[in-house]
Amino acid sequence: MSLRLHCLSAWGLIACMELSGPLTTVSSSQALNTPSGHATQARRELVEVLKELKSHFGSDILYADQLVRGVTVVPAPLEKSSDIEQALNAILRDTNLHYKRIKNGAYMIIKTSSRKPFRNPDSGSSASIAPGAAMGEGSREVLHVEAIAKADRSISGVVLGEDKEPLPGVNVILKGTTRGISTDIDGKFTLNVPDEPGHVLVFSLVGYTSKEMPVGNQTSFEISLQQSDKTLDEVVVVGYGTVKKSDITGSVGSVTAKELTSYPTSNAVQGLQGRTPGVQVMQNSGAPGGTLSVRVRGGNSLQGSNEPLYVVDGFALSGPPTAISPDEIESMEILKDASATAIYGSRGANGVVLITTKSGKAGKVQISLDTYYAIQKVGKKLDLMNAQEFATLANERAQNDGFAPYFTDEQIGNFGKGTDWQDVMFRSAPMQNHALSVSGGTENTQYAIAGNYIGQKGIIRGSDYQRANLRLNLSQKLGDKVRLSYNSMLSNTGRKLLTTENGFKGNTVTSATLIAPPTIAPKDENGNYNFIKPYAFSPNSLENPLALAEARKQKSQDFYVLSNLAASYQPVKNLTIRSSVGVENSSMRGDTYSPSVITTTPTGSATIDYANKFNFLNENTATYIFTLPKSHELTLLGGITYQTEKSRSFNAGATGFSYEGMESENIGVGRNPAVPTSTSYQWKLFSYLARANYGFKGRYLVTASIRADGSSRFGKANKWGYFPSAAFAWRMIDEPFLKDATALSDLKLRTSFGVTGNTALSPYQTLFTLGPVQTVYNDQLAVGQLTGTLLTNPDLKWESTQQSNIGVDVGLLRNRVSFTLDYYLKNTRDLLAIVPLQLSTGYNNTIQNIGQIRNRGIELGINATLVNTAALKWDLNVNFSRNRSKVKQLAGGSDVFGTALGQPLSVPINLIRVNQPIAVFYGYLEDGLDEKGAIRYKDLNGDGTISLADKTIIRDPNPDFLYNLSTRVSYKNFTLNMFWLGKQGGDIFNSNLTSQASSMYFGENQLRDVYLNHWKAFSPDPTAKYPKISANTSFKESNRFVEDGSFFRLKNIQLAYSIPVSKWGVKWLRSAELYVSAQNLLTFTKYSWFDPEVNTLGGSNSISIGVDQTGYPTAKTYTIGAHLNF
Amino acid sequence: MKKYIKTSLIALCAGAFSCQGMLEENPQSLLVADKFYKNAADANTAVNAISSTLHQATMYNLRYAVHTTALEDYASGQGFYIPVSQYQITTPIMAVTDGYWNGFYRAIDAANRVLKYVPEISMDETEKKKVLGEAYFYRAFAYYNLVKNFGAVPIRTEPTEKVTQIGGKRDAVADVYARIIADLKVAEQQLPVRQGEVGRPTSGAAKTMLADVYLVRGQWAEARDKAEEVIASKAYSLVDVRIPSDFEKIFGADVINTSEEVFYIKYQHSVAGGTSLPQLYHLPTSLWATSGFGTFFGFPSYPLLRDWADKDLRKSFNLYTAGPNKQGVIVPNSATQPIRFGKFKDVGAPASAAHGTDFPVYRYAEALLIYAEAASQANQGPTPVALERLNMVHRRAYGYDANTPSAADFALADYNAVSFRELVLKERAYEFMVEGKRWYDLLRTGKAKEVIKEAKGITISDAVLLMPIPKQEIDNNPDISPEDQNPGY
Repeated sequence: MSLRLHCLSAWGLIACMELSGPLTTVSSSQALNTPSGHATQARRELVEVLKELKSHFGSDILYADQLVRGVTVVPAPLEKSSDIEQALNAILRDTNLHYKRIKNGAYMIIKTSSRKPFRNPDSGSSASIAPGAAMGEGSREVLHVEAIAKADRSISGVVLGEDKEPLPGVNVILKGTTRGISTDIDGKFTLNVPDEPGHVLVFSLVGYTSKEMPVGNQTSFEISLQQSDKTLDEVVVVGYGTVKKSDITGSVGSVTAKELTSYPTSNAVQGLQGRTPGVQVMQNSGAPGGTLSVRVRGGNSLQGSNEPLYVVDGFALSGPPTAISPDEIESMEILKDASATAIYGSRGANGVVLITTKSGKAGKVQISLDTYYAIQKVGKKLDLMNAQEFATLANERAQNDGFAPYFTDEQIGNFGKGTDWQDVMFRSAPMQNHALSVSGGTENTQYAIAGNYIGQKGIIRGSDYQRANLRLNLSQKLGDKVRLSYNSMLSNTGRKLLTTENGFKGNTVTSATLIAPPTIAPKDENGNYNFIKPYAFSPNSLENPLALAEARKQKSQDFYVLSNLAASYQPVKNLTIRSSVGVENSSMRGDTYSPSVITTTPTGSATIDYANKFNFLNENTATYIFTLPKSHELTLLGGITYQTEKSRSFNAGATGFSYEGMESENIGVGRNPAVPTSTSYQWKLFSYLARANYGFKGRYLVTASIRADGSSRFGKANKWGYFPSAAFAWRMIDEPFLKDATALSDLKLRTSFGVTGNTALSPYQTLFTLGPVQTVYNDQLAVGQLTGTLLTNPDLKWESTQQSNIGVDVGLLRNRVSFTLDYYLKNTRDLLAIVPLQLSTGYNNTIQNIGQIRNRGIELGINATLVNTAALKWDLNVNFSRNRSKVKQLAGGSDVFGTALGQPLSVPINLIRVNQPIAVFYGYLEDGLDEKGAIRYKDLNGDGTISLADKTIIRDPNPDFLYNLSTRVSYKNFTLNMFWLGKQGGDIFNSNLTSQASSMYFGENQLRDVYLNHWKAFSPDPTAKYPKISANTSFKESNRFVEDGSFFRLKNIQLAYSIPVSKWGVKWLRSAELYVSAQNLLTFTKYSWFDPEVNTLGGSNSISIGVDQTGYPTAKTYTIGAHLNF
Repeated sequence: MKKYIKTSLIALCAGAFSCQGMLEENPQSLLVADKFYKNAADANTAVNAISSTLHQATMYNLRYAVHTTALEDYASGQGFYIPVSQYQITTPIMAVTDGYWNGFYRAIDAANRVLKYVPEISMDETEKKKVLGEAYFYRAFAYYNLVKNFGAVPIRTEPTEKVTQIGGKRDAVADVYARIIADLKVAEQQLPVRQGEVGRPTSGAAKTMLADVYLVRGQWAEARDKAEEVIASKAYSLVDVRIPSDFEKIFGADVINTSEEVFYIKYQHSVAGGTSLPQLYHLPTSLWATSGFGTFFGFPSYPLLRDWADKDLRKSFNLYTAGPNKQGVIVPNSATQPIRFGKFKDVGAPASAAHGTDFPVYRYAEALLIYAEAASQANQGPTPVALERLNMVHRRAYGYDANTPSAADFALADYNAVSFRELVLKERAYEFMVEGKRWYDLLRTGKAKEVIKEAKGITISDAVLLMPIPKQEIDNNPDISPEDQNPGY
């Protein structure tokens, strides 16, 4: 007995968008080895008819060769069949065959009964096994035809999918023989095997990873096959379409749903971290719902955003996808090189992240519940002085400054350890997430409905994050030519925020927590917040941290809708026209109430900010797949899109609250209203786009695209920008000369070049505008109209990034080991940058197209299956990326500085200078202490004084390289996942040290290390670590505050147990997995502060990076959770 | 097939929007400059903008209003102002002084816009003259403050509208003063004696500033005569003071106008229209400021404070060694910061930067004292009128009627030109304490080094006499090179 399985598939950009499963192409020469021409006029070979159906409907059809061989049918006219199921029913009506839908868009022809098929009289029934894709996973193994030995014993089993659903049509072959069978509709099989040791069964199915299993003495098997996420047959979503992974010409990384939800996070973007080389995710804050900065292959813009463009189900968002739950995402694709991103033109320069949400699949209703509960704890506490040490050091400060001691010896003796403000402010904080989804449908209608709730308390008192999401994805076929699809998402996010980052002198919660004197308790005996700065040396901005966290209320409520309706129309079989209309609407209300207990607002102060953003997108595309002679494939895409965003905001506030209970809910209670303000901005983007994909013999692949973008944001003469790209890929593996290189399972060379842009401008920056300002006459406000501090420039043009990429994809040992290596070079020209103006113009700065930045780098990704046995499986994924940036040119060669640090330094630390990497640290070098205990700086220019001219580049916040490692070991029902993140280099300017490791300059609490190792007047030591304790010791921005930011961190470790539900006979449950995990459990770093994953000045710009200024600490998290499928 | 492609392309085009004109921008919440300056309301709005540039935290709302305090011989500063107390202009301090340069040039640019566009507006000519007069006044005011702090500065008389309008060397100090005098001469003509709204510049304000400028330039006769014009206008009189707290009638946070107000930067009790000023002088615990910083304080050893007669009501009004806390309990100052300054206080501010205390730029007392000094200098010795003008200020400070001879009066016979000038300068120090006058008096009389050495024992360098030209100006102005920087920076 033997069998033969074919897979037919259609490939088209638009057609594939409606399919989400993997596809396989079998070249026609392989599929056509059945003699044809024997059919009578009325009847035709079933094989031929199936092929027509496949290309007409764009679906996969699988069949065992012996089943259909010689079977003839009466084909129904295709035009009369509205869908493939109807057509299959018609043609199979008088055979003993029927079809089974095995997954979305894929059908299998199977036997109905034992009744003999209608046979063509002269067709034989010889058995053969065809080589090719039926083996799945790009296998190139050829099975030899050999006589089947006498069966000695019978084995049986069942093959299940990942969700424990039975898999029909799985090819079960005794390895090294032609003996085999396919599983039936219930996934069951029975096979006779020789009764001798050493035999191995091979299970394979298109779209699934093949599995080998030793037969041993077992007679009953339960095999589960995993969908082959990483096969070359995988369909990858690209801009305005999809392509098979094997046909990709550009550099594209994918992150799966599993990876995105592998550890608790509220932000889907977090899931990108460490999964794809070339993508750096920087955590700007450890606060719940805190923002992230993402850099794809380095930052290229000074003025504009460096964040990638996020496209959700085809809708280009104007910001990061913070309202989307990671649970709702099927996959994320990161488009990195210009060949992939140029189709997004003026928004592609920073890379594009395509997010595909989960959609319904035809078939049984699937219900799944994902739930977890986690406890977060602060990862690290700092060793600060206790009350006695604090008072002692304060007295030393007084003595050094010639004042009487602040504290008597008796007072100091009574202080004891005092208050540990870190213990007061940090807490164990719970986090929970529950996601429920229901999906299913028929061939005509598919739906997915999902709800999700996440609640997270912050590890600092008073902070939390909650979000509830609802989503509906609906797809409906209208007749046989039109498909409507509708995606809609609602999200409601509530946050309690704290002022934490970038504080100084105790004006934010983190700053106050570390600075507050340990000599004072948080509250007095009556439960009132204690006054926290009673001493003459107390920092004047200091607030009671507990009052700042608990009594000061800052909350935000965001309501978000993303809704997209698309219709695709296929007037003829190769042409698909798609038109979509989408809206993104977000409404944000921010409330702040600062009560009278906060010293800066002694009468209470309330503000309400309201902002609304309405983003509209219309896209119209046409895709045509040409019918060309054999070996040629050509697909053309053309489109016109229009997008506009209108954002409006207003702000109201009041002070003077005689009654504080209503906080900001009724600001009319405040007797002193602030001047209300409002803004209104709109931008428009009108675009034409076109792309051609050409393939010759599937080996030589060419992609060329162009997009023309017209943006309202530029001056009249420069509204339009043009962004072309071209790429070439060579699938060497399919060349005949590599036919014998059996160890090699994939080899592809890719090269591309293209131009992308960055709008980089806010609306109206080319117009000369005036805005309202206030002055006072007669005790009344008077309004004036004043120019901004930025002088507008009507001649601004597009910033453009030229990127070249060369890469190679290699697969070894049937893709058990595969790696991808890329080298890129990006040159950004006409850099839009805010450049300083001479202040005597009356303006601070202007925007110009001033310069050039180069980024180049190497990315390497390795996937390996180290062990792959029935019981034990070990996968390893390693990636490495290195980016080097260099500023090539700046206007007039003048320096550009980043954001200024807070007090006491009050200067910018990041510098953009020609021939240097972006945003290097710029400051003084220290040279020990002088005889009076003051810091001595190196006089670099030797002029005898320390001046600005002695500043130099002191370190570099850009990492040398990033590396990540993830490993998955599964043994029977247990799976252990580990995910390690690494960064080498990437220095941090630890601005916290300017307060906490200073000379008690502002009277702040200090590190215990300062107490122990400072310069002392009675035993002057010029090598002391810290200078003289004094209000007069001055600090400059120097290498003292720069630390190595390298780290290697166990980001996630998870142990999961998959309950064998079918073995246990639990009918209502299809699969169940329970897990425990821990995040940030281990971190190897020399960094002295809370966490090396910090970037408090971070945001969309790349100018101010690598600064830790009172950052919200990162949590260690312990999680328990379950994935259930019903 | 071709037919299908053609039809579908037509469908695509029809589905898309016309892009003709669609990419034009029409801001709805901002004025586009070329649609502005059309009527009298626009002219008034444009001139208000000049005043608003002075109402910034970098300017009179906080930093510039106290710029000289820690430099003066009777006060020191803590925290951020420690280096200033030590007569060192460090990098963070430079960020502040750069802000003055920036702020005054923003005022100049806003004034230049008024002077360029308002003449073309068709509006009531008297109103137009007034608006232009205000612009001239503010431009002169800005240049005067720049030249006092930075020395030679570029003169710009055209608004900046294009990136190409850059450059401009440091014009000589004399040229800057010539520009100031020319502007003030127009302003004194075009401005009314009284304005409908208190706080708008008047002819008296322009004349007082002009007298002040002449005084600085040593043009004694012109200074005397211009001060006399102010006095003779009878538009102003000294507020009567009998007890120290009567000074609240001049400096109190709720005062809207007084008879001796010549030109003030005005504030109200709101975040948009308030100042931080009292915060700098009072502690966080003090009743007298909302969220005070307690930045400035003095020591009894400082000669001006040490020698201050107790009978001078200004002493107990200006200085305190104990003050009320939030609960009204009088608590003494700390030993390390024993004396604080009580002139600017506000118990009713709803928020920290929302104090209503006006900042006095010119009071009538100054016109009187300018007259006294200038007349004596011009005459090479005090005149009876010069003495009387000094005595008016002095008497009022001692609780007497300003216009009636009193026991506190100085006698003409006791003074020559030199000692009389000393006397006036000392009177100015007491009268204008923490009003940002003393430091410039020390500079213009060349006494800064000597007085500071005597008062604080600190030898100050020449560098501190002028603030540094902002690095940003030097880096980006093609006509100013690093060599043009003020000495010592």
